[in-house]
Amino acid sequence: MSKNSTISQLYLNINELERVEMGEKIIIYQPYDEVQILLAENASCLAVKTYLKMLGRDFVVKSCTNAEFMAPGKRTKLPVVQIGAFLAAEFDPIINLFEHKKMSLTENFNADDKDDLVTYLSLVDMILTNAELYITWCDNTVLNEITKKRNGSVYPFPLNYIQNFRKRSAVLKQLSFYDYKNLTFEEVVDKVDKLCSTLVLKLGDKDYFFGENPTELDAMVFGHFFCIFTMELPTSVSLLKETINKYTQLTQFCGRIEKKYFGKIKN
Amino acid sequence: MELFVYKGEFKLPSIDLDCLRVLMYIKLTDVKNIKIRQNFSPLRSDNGFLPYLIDTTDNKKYCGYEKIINYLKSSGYVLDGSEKNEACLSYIRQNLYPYFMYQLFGSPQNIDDSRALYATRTPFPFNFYYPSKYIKKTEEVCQALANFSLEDPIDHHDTAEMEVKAKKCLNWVSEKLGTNEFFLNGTQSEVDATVYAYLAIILKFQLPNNQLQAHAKQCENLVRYVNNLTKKFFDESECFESEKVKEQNQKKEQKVFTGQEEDGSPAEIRKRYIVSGLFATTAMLVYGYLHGIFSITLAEKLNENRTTYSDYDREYVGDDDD
Repeated sequence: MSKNSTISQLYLNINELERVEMGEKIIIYQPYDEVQILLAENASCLAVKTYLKMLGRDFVVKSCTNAEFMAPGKRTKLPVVQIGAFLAAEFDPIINLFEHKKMSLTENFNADDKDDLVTYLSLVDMILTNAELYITWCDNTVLNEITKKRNGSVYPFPLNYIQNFRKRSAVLKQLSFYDYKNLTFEEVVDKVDKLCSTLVLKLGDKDYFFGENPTELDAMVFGHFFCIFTMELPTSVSLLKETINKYTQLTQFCGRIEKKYFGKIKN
Repeated sequence: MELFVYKGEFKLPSIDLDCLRVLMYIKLTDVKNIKIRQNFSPLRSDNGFLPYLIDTTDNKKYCGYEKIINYLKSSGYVLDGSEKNEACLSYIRQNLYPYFMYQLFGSPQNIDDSRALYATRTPFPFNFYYPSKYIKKTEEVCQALANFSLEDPIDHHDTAEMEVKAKKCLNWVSEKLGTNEFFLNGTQSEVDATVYAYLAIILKFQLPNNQLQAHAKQCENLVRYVNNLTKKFFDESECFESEKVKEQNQKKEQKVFTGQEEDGSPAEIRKRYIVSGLFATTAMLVYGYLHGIFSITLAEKLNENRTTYSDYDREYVGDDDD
C-alpha cells in the first residue's frame, strides 16, 4: 500500500479533510503540564492553542500521559488535535485543515505574503524547535536534572529508563538530520540570535508580523518564545533566554498576544 | 585560498550538492585568487565530507557549506540578500532535501549509480568508505522523518509524504522564479546558489529512477534557469563529462534514429558466450587438477614415478609389519 500511495494518499487526505465537520468540538490532547511536558512539546502545544484562539474557536484541553503515542502515523508528535472523527498532530496539518475549509487567518493574503508566511514558518519551526530539543536533550545538566525526571515521571521503574533512552535516540536522529547534533550550545544560541534579528526586521513597528491581524506565524513565534520565557531552566542554558530578552520588540510582542488571548485565564 | 570539491559529471562542475552550492556562491560573489582542486579524498576534511576550503595565508581549514560561506562572508564576499534569504533556505531544506537525498542514496534502484559516481572520484582505499557516509546520512533522514530504515524491504519505504513535500517545493520554486533570471525578485542572492545546486543535480543526473527529474522537467522555467546559469557562470572547461556518459548519450541519440539494440550485435553475443564458456571450462579443469581428481604426467617420466611410488608403498608395508 505504501508504494503506490503518493497520489492515493493525497486524495485520501483531501477526502478526509472534506468530511471533517467544523462545527464539532475541538479536543487537544497533551502531556501533563506540571510534571511531564517538555519544552519543545509545550511550545508546539501552546502554538496550536494560540492559533485556535486567534481563530476564535473554543477547545478543550485533555491531559493524558500517553498523548505522544496518540498521533496518527508512525512518528510521535504533539499535540494531538481531534475534531469529530478527524485526528491531526502538530502545527502543519491543523493549518492545512483550516486552510482547506477556507477558514484560515490568511484568506485574503496575496501570493507574495503567503510565500513569506510559509518560509518564515519553516524557518521559525526549524531553528526554535531544534534549539529547544537541543537544550532539553543534549545539555547534560538539563538532561539529568529535568528532562529525564519529567519524561520518565509517568512510567514505573524499568520502563522510565527505556522510554528516556528511546526518546533521546529519536530526538538525536532528528537533530542530526538538521545538523544540530554536533553544534555547541553557543552556536545554537547564535542561530537563535540571528533568527531574532530577522524577526525584528520583519516585525518592524507593526502589531503583528503581517500588519494589523494575527497570522499563523504570530501564533508559532508566541508559542515558542513564551515557553522559553516561562520554563524554569538551569543557569547553564540561561543564555538562550537572555538572548531573546535582548530584543525588546519581541518581548513586547509576546506580552501583547498574551494579554489579548490569554489574559483572562492568567487572572 | 584552495577549495576542494568533487569533480563534475553530466556537464556539471561538480556532482555534489554542497560542492555545487559553494562553487555557485563563489561565482556569484566573484571570488578571485581561489584555486579549485578536484580528485582529493575527503580524508583531510574534519567532517569526512567535501567541500572544504583552506585559507593558504594562515592555513586555516573550513569544512562544510555553512562554515565556508560564513568565512567567505566575513572576508567580504557578501551578496545583498534580503532577510528572506534564511527563510527560503530553511524552507527548501525542510521540504526538498529529504526526498532529494532519498532519491540519490536511498532508492534501491539508484543507490549503486550514485555511489559509483562518488567512488570513482575518491582515491583508492577511501572509495570503499566515503561514499557510504552519504548513505548513512540518508538513513538518518529517513529514520528521523518517516521512521523506516533503508535496509527494510522496499514496501516499508514510506516516502509518500516526503515526495509530496518535495514536489510541492519544486512547484513553489518554479512559481516564485517565474521568468526572472534570479530567484529573489531577479537579484542575485545566496538562495540562487542553493536552488541552482538542487535543480542542476535533479535535472542533469541520469538515474534509473528519477521522479523529481520528471517533475522538474515539466516546469520549463526551471530547466531554462539551470541551463542559463551553467552557461553564464561556468566555462566549458570547468564542466566535466566522462567518456562513458558521452558514449551513453550518443547511444541514446542513435537509438532514436536507428532503433539499434543496446546489447550489441549477434556476433558480439556469440563471442561473449564463447569467452564465458572457455573461462568456465578452464576454471573446472584447474579445480580438478589441484584437487587431484586427475593428474597430468609426461609419458617419459611415467616409469620413474611408478618406481618411487612402489618404493614408498613397500616401505610403508614394512613399517606396519614391525
